Amino acid sequence: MEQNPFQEIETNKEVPVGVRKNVMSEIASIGLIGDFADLFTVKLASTIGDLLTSKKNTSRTTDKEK
Amino acid sequence: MSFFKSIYIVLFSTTHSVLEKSKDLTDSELVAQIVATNNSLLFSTLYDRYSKKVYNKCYSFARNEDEAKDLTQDVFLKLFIKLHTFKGKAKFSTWLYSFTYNFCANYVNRDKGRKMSDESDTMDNHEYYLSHMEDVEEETLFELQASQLEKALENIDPEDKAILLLKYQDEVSVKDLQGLLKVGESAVKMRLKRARIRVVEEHNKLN
Repeated sequence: MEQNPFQEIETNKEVPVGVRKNVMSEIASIGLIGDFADLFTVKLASTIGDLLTSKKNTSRTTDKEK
Repeated sequence: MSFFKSIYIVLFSTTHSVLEKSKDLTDSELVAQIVATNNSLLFSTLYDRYSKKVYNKCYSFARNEDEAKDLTQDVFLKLFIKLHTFKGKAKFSTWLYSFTYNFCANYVNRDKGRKMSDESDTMDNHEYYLSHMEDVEEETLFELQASQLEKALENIDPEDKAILLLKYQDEVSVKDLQGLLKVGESAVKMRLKRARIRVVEEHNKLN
């Protein structure tokens, strides 16, 4: 079988200790920031929106009852 | 105290079962779940599968263990953010290697003051120029000495190095390269031809 020098030069080193921990903690931070951003933008806005629409509906029904 | 103990046991067993289940998933299934849930536990399974390969690929561009370590960390962080761009057109491993090479090539080019030269269009990038150059047969390429090839690869453009490694080290087909590089078949073949010519030229300069 023909030798392939490109595969011969591929190294087989072990990943240094600590890389996994660093990567996972950074990813956890990214996730946390994403969750906070989601909470204060999308979720807060939709909650306020829901609150306002439900208040409007309640005031309309109370007006009708009167 | 027993309340906290129970919470710990529930959390630990949930984590353990998520990890165990994720080990049976294929790469594509795992990626789909990570994208849907942003679960870092699932991402750790992906990390365990590919960290060694990615580290060694980064090492081939960095040539120093500390740089390779930093590059590996950065590749995985960017991967977590960009994972949704994987559309499953090629194998995940192929896509990841291309992603890694791209990241490493940008890293090598970062402070070369290449902005101006990248913007300018040189003669040797043109098809009509390359069509006059004699192509290098794959047999000739495989006859190169590994140690000399390593040095020659260091002296060519990182983009040329990346395409050669994808084709001849990772054995990615021309069809998959088309999808990864988002160019047509003739453009892939032309880039491969240019990279082969350059690496052999560099190799010959070393002798």
